[in-house]
Order: sequence, then C-alpha cells, then structure tokens
Amino acid sequence: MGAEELRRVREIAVNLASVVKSARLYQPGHKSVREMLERTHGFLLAFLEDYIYLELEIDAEGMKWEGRPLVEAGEQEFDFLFRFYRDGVRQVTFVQGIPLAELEAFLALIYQDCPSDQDLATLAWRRNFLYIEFAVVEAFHRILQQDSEEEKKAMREEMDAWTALALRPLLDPAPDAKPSEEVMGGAIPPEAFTARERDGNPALDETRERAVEQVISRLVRALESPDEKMIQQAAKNLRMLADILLRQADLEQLCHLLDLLPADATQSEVRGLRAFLHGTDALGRLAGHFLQEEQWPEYSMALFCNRLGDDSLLLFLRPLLAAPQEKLDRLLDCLMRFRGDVMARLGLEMPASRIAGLLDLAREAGGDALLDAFTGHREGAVRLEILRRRAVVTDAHLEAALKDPDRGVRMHALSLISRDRRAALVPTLLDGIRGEAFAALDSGEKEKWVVVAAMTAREQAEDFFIGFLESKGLFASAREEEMKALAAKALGIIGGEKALPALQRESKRITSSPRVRQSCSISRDVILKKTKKP
Amino acid sequence: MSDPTASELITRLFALIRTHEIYPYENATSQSLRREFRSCLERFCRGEEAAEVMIEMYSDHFLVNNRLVKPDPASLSHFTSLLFRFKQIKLKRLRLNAHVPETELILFVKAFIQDWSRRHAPDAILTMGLSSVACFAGGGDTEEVAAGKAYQADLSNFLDMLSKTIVTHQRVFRQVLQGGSADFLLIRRLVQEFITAALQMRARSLGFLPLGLLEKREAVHGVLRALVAIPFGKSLGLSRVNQEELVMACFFCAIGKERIALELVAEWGSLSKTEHEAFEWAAFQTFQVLLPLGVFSPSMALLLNTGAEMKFQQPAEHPFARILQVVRAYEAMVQHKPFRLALHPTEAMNVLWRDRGKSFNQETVEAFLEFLGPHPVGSTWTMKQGYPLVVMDPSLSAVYKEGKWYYFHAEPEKPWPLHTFPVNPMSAFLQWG
Repeated sequence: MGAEELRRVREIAVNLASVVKSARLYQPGHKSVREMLERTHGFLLAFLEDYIYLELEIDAEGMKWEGRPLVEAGEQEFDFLFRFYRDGVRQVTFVQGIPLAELEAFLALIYQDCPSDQDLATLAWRRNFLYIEFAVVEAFHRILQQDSEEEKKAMREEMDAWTALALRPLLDPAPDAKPSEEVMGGAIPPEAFTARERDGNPALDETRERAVEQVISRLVRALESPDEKMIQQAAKNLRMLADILLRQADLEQLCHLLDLLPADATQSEVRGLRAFLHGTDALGRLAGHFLQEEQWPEYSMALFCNRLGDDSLLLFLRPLLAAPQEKLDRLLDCLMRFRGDVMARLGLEMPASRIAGLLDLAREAGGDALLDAFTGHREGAVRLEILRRRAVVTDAHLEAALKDPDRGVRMHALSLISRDRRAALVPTLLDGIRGEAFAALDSGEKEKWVVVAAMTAREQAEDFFIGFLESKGLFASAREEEMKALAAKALGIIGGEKALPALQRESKRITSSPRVRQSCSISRDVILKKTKKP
Repeated sequence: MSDPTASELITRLFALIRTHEIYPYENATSQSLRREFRSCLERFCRGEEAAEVMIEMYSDHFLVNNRLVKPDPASLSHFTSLLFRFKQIKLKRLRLNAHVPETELILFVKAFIQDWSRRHAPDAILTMGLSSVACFAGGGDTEEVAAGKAYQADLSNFLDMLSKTIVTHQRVFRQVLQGGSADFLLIRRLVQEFITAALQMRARSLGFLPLGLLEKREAVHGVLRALVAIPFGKSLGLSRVNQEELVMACFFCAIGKERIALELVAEWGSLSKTEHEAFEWAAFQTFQVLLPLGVFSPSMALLLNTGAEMKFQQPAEHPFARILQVVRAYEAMVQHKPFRLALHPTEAMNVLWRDRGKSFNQETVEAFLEFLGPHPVGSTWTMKQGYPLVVMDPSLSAVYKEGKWYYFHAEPEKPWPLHTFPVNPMSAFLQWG
C-alpha cells in the first residue's frame, strides 16, 4: 500500500471528523451536515470498491492504517475516534458496500449522549452494524484490571472448576429427595408445539420507552400503601431516585416526579420530598451542573422551572446568574412570558452590567407593566435603563425619577420634562429647587433644573425666580449668590418684561457679587433685545 | 525462557506478516522477525510435545492444536487483523512444522501477502508446494467436518464465556447485595459478549442447564436462566436491545428476594396472609438493592420494573416479566431442590401448560412450548433399544453406547430422568464435532 492509498484513507478520516464537528455545531439533520456525510460516504465507497475493506487500528498513540500512523493521539479534531479507544474498541473495520444509512448510524453513535450504563462499544453492539466491525477488549479483562494477581488466579481457578463440572463423565449423585409426581410427557397436545413467526418487540419496545416514568409512578403509588413499612421504603427509594435524577440533571424525569407529588399532599413523606426538591440543596446542585455545561436545554429547563414556586425558582436561577449572558438570556426569554414576576425579583439582584438583556426581554414580554416590577433596583443605572425603555413615561414616573438618588436618572427625567413640556411637573421642579437637597447637587445639574423649569412653564416660574432674585438672607451667602445667578439666567430664558426691574436693580447693586451682577446684566440685555427697548 | 503461549504464537505470526508488508525481505527488521517467529514456533511445539502446530480459523475464532485461543487486550487488534486476512484469502488451516526452514517461511509469507494484496482471487498459498508449511482452504472439508470444526470453535468460546460470566456475575451479585458498588457498564458489555457466544450455540446452550442441578446460589441460576432466555428470545424475534435487557433481567431482577430470610422461602406453603403479602412486595426490594448504585438509565428502570412485577403464582402484566416468569420457573423446575428431584423437561412443560393463564401468561407459555418443542434440546430419553439418548437439536440426537456418543437422527422414546441417567448428558455436547 503506497502513499496514494494513505492519502485516500486520511481524506476519509478527515471527512469523518468534519461531519462529526458539523453535526455538533448545527444539528445532525442539517442540510450541510447531510451534504458532508454524503461526500464522505462517496470517498469511503470508492476506497472500499478498490480495497474491499478499511481497517482502522486505534491505540494509545493514535490511529493507524496498515501499521502506518494516520492520526496522532491529541489531535483534537479526531477526539471522537479516541472515545472509541477509551471505551475498549481497538479496531474499526468498514466493509465494502456500506450503505449511507449505516455510516449515518455510525456517526450518530458518536454524537448521541450515552446513558450512564452504556458506552460506544455497547451501543455499537446494540445497533448491530452489518458493514462495520468492531474489535473490543473483552469486558472480563477490564473487570479484572483492578484485581491483584492472587485474585485473578482465584477467578481463573473458579472458571476452570465450572468447565471441569461440565466435563465430568457422571453427574453428582442426586440429593435425598422425592421424585416429582408430575406426568412425564403426553399432557400437551401436539399442535401446541407448532412453531409460529413472532415479533416480540413492539410491546417490549414500548415498555422500555416508558420504563423511567413507570419506576417513578410505581414508587409514588407505593406511598399510598396501607403498609407503613412499604411507605417508608418507597419514600426512601424516591429520595434516592431524586438524588440520582439531580446528579444526572434529568429534567424531564424531575418534572415527572414533581407532577406526581401534589402540593396539597398530607403525607409527611410526600411533603418532605417536595420540600427537598424545592430546596436550596437540590436546586443549587442542579444549577451547579448546568453552569458546567456548554449547551443548555432551555426548553426543558423552562418546563422544569414552571413547576417550581416563586421562591424555589429564584433559588434555582440565582446561581445561574454567573453563566454567560447569551445562555442566560435564552433561558430567561423562555421564562419571561410566564414567570415575569419572578424574573423581576431576579432582576433586582442582577448587577447593572448584566441586566440590559433582561430588561429588553421584560419589555418585549410584558411591556411597561413588567418593567415596573424592576424599578426597585438598587443601582441607579438600572433605574435609568428602565426609564429609557418605557414606551409611556407618565408624570408620576418622572416625579419619582426627579427624587431618585441617582444623578443619571434625575438628569434623564429633566430631559424628558423639557422635551415633552410637562407643565404639571413644574411645581415639583420648583419645590426641588427650593429644597435643601438642591444645594448638594453639582452645578451642571442645578443649572439643568433651573433651565428646565424656566423652559417648561414660563409664567409659573417667572414670579418664583424674581422672588429668588429679590430675596435677602434666605440662604447662606455663597448659596445665595449661586441661586441668584441661576435665577437671573432663568429669567433671561423666560424673557418676560416683568423681571426687568429686578434684573436692573441687581445688576447695579454694589453688594451683589460680580457673578450675580453679570448674570443679571446678561439676562436684562436679552429681554431688552427681545422687547426692543433701549 | 518460558514456553510461549498459543496467543503469543498468533501475535508473532501477524507481526511477521505485517512487517513483510512494510519492509523488504532482506531488511534487518524482517530478518529479525523471521528469527523470532521461528524460535517461538520451536519452543511452542516443544512445550506441546508436538512436531508441528495446526492453526485453524473457524467461526471467527482461532484454534491452535484444536484449542480455542483468545486475545488479551494488548494483542486484540493483531488477532482481529490476522483473522480478517485468513477470512479474505479463505485460509482455514495452516500447518507449520516446528523447524520450518527460513526459505520456506519466506515463500509462505510472500504467498500470503500476494494473495492478501489481490484480495479478489487468492491461490498462491494453496499452490506453494512446501514441505514444512501447508495451507488448506475451506473447500477441502466436507460439510460435516466444516460444521463440526465450527461447532467446536463456537463451543469452546461459549464455555469460556459461560464460566467467565458465572464467576463475574457471582462476584458482582455479592458486592451489590452487600451494598458495594458495581460497574454496570462493564456488566452490560459482559452480557452482550455472553449473548453473542450463546447465540452461536443456537438452542444447544440448553444442554448445559445441568450445571445448576445442585447449585444453591441465585447468581448462578441467573446465568443459567439466561441460557434458556437467549435462544427463546431469538425464537420470539427479539432485537439485540431487548435480548440484552432480558438477560440483565435474568441476572438481577430477583436480587431483591435475596434479602428475604431463606426459612420464609422454604415454608412458602405455610405462610400467613401477612407473610405472603410481605413476600409479594419483596420483589419491590430490588429497588432497595439497585437504586443505591446511583445508576438510573432507561435500562436500569426497565430492570427495576421487571423485578417489581415478578410475582408468585400470578401472571405478570409487564412484558419482560411475563417472559422471565416462564423462563425462571422452567429453569427452577429442571434443577434439584431439597424437597424434590429435578423434573424432566416434559414434566416442567406440563406444569407450565397446566398453569397457563393462572400463574403464567398464556401467550408466553404457548410461545415457550413452541420454542422447546416436544423433545427439548438437552433433554434425556431412552431410545428403542434402551440406550441413553440426549436431544442435540430437532434433527439430531446423541446416543450413548459402549462408552461413546454416536450422533444421528434417532427418535426419543421414553423420558429418562436426570437423577438416574447413566452418563453426564453435557458430554454429548462437548464431544460432538
């Protein structure tokens, strides 16, 4: 076998690896996966047409063909082949004539999840391939692997004893017992022995598919037994089963179990099991499992979540907040429509950096009504985001926002008041300006408050600011100076002639600060210009 | 240096051929491999006290000097590859003289590789004309000889797997019952290998039921039940998956009952109603034993459900439990008990027939009787002249005469109970072929 054959074999191996990789990225039935599979099948069939079979040996160093290295152990794209090695397969042989369906089934082996008591070797045996042969290390060898030499020797001696039992010339003497009183032969009519074709599989297949549900149902039914011992044992078994299902993160069966344990049950065993499944330990473990998983079964997770009470759902979701945003958002999207209230409670615990997606989902799912539930968030940035996302911002929202401890929220509220000319909020604005807390604001914000008040309701604000300008000793001197300057500015924006006398006076008062006199002058000139008075 | 094993001989033969596929004959590696092989061959023959070795390939197994040789984990792929080559070039037997000259060895290897590379039309190995190396293709055997050889290979493999399965299953059963852990993955693998080996025997696995005549251990009877269940399952048309589940049920579904005091079991007839009820839900105890293993797959769930439905004297509803009830009852009836001797298979069938619809599902009993037939494989009879007869299959019997078994179609006349049968009936199966 030369270089050309080696190249062809490697091409087949590379193509197999590509199909597996694509099936993991998309889904096995996806159009591109199908096309790649058909191409790979074509290469394989062509090779088998020339050489009848393709024998791939797998060992700890890698994969070989005809003794020649094909793939080194550690090449990541071929990791699926080394799963075979791990599961005891040492050789995979493809035989001439392999149909596409069989190659597809072979690859399906690789991308399906194995149950905990199966691996690729056992699944391959079950599948009963006709054109693919597997050389698998005998289980007996692997079972003995951990044994000492003495233990191995004892096992082999025992095996030899059984073979020797079969080889003896005579059977051991019978015990001292009565022969049976049954009739030998003749009681069964001859037609009873006529062989017929039977397909014993349908009922068995159906039973196998429902087996897991049946175990759970059986145990739950046993809780209704009149036998106290049976009840206790069933409860114990159910608890063990619940632990296993949690460890395996088998959401489908956990849902089934929860469905069979009614919330209004009076039996202490049922209540106890429900409490366990709804509790921190169980839900924390389950969440921990999913945090380790690359892919989440969001739909199954949502179905499971819908069976949990509000508090339990939070117990489950809290640890999941550590997951990447995209994964978390997909799950929360599934939940938002039906458990919006709980999502809001969850959102209250999320940092501002993570909550944007959740707010968008909330808005899509429940609109402003659902956004309302988030307004209690501790971070101002979040409250601001909520305000920004509202389809309708009422005066009440803005009034609350003006009193928000977060500057960003207040500033945005002021912008909205100004944009929409919310005259009803002017008293709130003016109260705010008059209030003690106004002094603590930075100059930028103070100016905005004043400007917005001035622009929003001129007549209402004019007397207010004239009053500020003419006041004496209402504030400490520095503050008075600042307030007067701001008042002057506001009056300039309002532009009413009524303010002229006060502006004129203050612009010339010697006791006023230069800043106040300047501000008053500017505003006076603006008004005069507007009214065209000299 | 200790004598090489047959397994080593096979491995070296493969290495010899593989090396010559890659390297030229005069290459140092090729020369070294030829030297090592010849040395191995000489020492092996010396250990066997034989002048030559016969390597045969029948039914996907190697026989070396009529003994089955199986690979260890390290040599598995060499064995498999060599088996494949033998099959492709239609080589059935290879005879090698203990002192094969190097020149003849080279000619043999060349011919082998030539036929192997051609793949479509092998013949070089059959026309070598060498004195120390001879090859025989399947065409040289009569149908009877070929069938006999294949049967011997299958039988050797079956006995190997049967003893491994009994020994391993006993250990695992004990461990699980005592609350220890068990690797159910490896157990399933073992079950699959056991099924493959038993199916190659067809219904002749029934001939080995007498292994359990005086056996008290439930684990052993679990394996013997599987000897019945496997060919019965095949007659029902069961898929591989269902066969595997059925055998796992044979092995484990009664494990819960092991927790019941033996004195209760022995006094079944005189138990009170409460004790009967306790016994009934004792099948449920299988849950207590198996759930702590921490494996809950669909297959394990099936096992638990089957075990929970194994009721006494009441037909099960569960489809797997129905089959298992009949198989379990049959296997128990054909073994000795402290209170009665083993029933003849026809007596056991009469019991099933009588109780069909009452203790056993009717349809399952009918299917089972169809499978067994009026003269079940392994059953013991007299022939017309009074000779002991064992049924090998519906068209073949083994008749014991003057210390030997003779195999031909003979009509069984009267049932002969095992406790008075003058010879071990299993020997009929061991000596055939």
